[in-house]
Amino acid sequence: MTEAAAAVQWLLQQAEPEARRVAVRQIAKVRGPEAAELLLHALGDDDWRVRKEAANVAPLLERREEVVASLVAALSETVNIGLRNAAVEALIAVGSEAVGATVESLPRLDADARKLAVEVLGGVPDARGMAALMRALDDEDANVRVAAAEALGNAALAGEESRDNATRALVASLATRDTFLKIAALDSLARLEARLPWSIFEPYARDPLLRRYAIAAAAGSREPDAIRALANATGDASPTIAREAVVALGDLIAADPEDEQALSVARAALLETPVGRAQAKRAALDPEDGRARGGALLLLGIIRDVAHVPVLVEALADDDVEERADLAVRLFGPAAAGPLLLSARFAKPHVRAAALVLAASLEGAEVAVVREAVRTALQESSLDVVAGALEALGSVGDAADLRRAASFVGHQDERIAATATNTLSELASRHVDAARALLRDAGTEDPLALGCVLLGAIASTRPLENEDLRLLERALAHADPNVRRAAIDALAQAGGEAAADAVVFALADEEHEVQLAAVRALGRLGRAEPLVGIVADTRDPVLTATALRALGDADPDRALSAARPLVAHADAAIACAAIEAIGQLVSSPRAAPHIAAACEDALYAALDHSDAEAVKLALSLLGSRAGPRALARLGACLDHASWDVRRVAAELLGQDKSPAAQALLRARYEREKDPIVREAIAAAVSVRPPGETARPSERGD
Amino acid sequence: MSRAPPFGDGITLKPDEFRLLRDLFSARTGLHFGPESRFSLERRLRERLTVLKLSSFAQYHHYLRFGTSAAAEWDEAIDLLTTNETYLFREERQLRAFQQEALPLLRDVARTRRRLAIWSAGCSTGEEVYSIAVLVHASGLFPREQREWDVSVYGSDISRRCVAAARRGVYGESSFRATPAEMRAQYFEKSHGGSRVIAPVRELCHFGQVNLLDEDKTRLVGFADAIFCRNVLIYFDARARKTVIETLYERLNPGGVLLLGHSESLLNVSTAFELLHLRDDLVYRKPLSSVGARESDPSL
Repeated sequence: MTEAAAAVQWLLQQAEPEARRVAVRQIAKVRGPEAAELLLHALGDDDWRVRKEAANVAPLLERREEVVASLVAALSETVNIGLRNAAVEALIAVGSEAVGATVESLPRLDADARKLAVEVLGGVPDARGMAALMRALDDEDANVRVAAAEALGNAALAGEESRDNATRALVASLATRDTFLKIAALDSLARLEARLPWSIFEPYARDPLLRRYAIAAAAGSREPDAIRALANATGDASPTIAREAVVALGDLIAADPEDEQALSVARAALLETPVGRAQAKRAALDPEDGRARGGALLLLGIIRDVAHVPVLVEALADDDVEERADLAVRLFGPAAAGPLLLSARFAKPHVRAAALVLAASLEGAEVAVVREAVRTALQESSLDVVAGALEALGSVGDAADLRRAASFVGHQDERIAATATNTLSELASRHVDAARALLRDAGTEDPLALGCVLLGAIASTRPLENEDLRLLERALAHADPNVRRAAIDALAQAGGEAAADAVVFALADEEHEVQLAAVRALGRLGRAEPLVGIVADTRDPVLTATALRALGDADPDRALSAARPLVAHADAAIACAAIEAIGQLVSSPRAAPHIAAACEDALYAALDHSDAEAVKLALSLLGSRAGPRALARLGACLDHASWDVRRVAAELLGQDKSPAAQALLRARYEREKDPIVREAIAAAVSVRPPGETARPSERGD
Repeated sequence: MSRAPPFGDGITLKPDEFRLLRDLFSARTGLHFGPESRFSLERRLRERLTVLKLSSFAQYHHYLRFGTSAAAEWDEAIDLLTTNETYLFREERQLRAFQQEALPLLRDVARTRRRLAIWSAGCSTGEEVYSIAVLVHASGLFPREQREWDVSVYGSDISRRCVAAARRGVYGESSFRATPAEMRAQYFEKSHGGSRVIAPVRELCHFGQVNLLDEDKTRLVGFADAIFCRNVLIYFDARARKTVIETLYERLNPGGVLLLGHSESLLNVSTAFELLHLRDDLVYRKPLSSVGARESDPSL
């Protein structure tokens, strides 16, 4: 035994578990056959932390074949159960290199050990292992068969082909008489998000023992029969099955809330299921079960019973289901507006605010009712409610509301002032004559502030008059930077050479926000020259970034020329600004083909930046481009030193459904040690491509 | 045990650090600091070391060059290093000459474009800008009621704080020490914390933060018919002075005039200007024959 091995062995015999755990890490440094022996010793340790550490060390050992052989042999251990279980963990950690030996061992192992081997194969995303698991569905031992069915629920990690094969095998296994195997198969089909016809699940949905699992597995199907079955199951006598149905139907609705046909079928079926409706209402009130509550809210939304509106309002107050409650109200439609406002009257301020905004956004709602509620709410003392009411007023207000909104523009609370400004602008663009009247009558202390907002809105609908431009030019010299900024925005909206001339000097404004507004305005006004100067001064990354974007609006060719050299800038903030600007040029519908190609080149060049943030940004902008070049660069990024870059590359490659992309991901999965990146790769290779529900005949059933 | 280094207080500006900072300020802003300025520089910048928790001026030099908030720190440093003392209608005789003799000439030159632009380069807290605007308004040569003339008086300074103060334009009593009483009564009104120029004059005035050595920034002003750069060149070294004057020349319309402080001249700096003798003053003028210069300017 080498000295190193002897030292580790001595340490592994110490009484203190922490000393043994630390010693385990040294096993990786041991050369020779002793390493596998020491590993097995550690895997059989009394302390779980030592065993866990040993499992993690397994993939780091040399002489892999010997190590794997020892580990596979340990699966047959009958005395030290801890060793046996730790060997499973270690083999999974070793990954693909453990698959061959594990598969070969299956005929030699007894039933208990075969079950463990099946667990190993389920933990490693490898097509060979998945094929073995499919064969194991016919194992002579019932426990092995069930374990194989459970393990096949992970088949998506081994690629689309494995997913499809596993789905077929699991569907076939449903013909068994073994109830546990059927349960495992149905559960795995749900995990594989199998899109199968309802007719496959229907027989099992009638079986009291299997019903729950069949219902869950059917959630992937959007067939009317499946939707009806799920709706009916919400009234199941078994609370567990009813809950499962509520969750599944909720997920189905949330997956595509604009699928009118599916919604209509679900609604009709729910209306014929009084028990199901009652169950949905109960679940929608249960704060302990957020998943069921979220599903139930959507069911109430499509049922459209005004008696349920208070339930939806209550859910708007719960952060966990707020989004679902919001969607439920939208699914309910315009008829919800009145009851919604009524129910929310005594709710918490932020819920009242949300209700006002929601009611105002419901197309077809009775505007007069909503408007009146909004006007009343403007007089409340709660800033939350006033902000919500102001936002809602933008949608439902009329000419008479311009003055109401104007009275809040100078509010001391910034949020109120900003919301009022937006609302005023929205109203003024719809009611230009009233806006002009307000402008004339503005006998306030400072008419310039209000004038800029009103003129900006008016300019969006019709050309401004000379007098208007003079007012805006005066406002550019105002002491309040907010007024100067509003004037710049209005001038940008007005357009024209005179407006651009007036805005140029604002680039020298001492306030950063005003400079940024001027930069954006000049972009919109098509005045490229001063922007080039701003881009050249890279001391302020935010300004540079904004100027680059604006330059993209004004003159894409010059924007590209200015941004391209900055992609390699040592300051990551500047490089990111340039990359972002180039990304914007690529996505611009106005970009000429030669610009798009040059931008793409620049983005690929940015992948070589030393800063991970710059690389990530370039990656995200390159998105899921197809072709060998993209594949090669994304593949290279899978080996990037930064885990975060590898994660993003994995996510993007996951969107590429080509076998080559999937192969790159799986190859990296074997080497990847970072758990977050591993998770991302796993998710990427299991992402299901969109497609129709497969017909049994297409699947060879 | 060694004592933690102090921040700010007690730190001295060593000769080598002085040279580093002097060269840096000169390169970036053109501000010139002779050997006699060392202790003044130390005194003025010391508070920045305290704020930034730096223990030497060498660290401060590094911060100005590479610090994460270097741009903001430049504003702070410049505010501390520049002198802002000025008042309304300073060097009144020159201003009168400008109003009575130069403005009529400029009106003739600008007659066809009907646009008058005046730039106060290095305007400090804005007193000069408002003084010029009052004189233009009072001259009656450039009526604006029917938009006959488009008049702008631009004020720029390198100091952010000065520009903000200029924009507010509210002045205390001491700023009015050279303002004729009738002028004050007619063109100024009480405001919170002092007096300010009346709205019709104020709206002629525009302010911006401009480093005169930054060519891109100076272009934002556009072309001017008159440039006031009074008591500014004295802060620059010879090289920077030459650059600034070249910039001002470029920014002037042909026939436009440059007004310097009484103690300043273009001797050994530029021969491009011609001298214009007024009754009570001497100003520099860009020759009318230099028309081609504008046509080649890309910022037009």
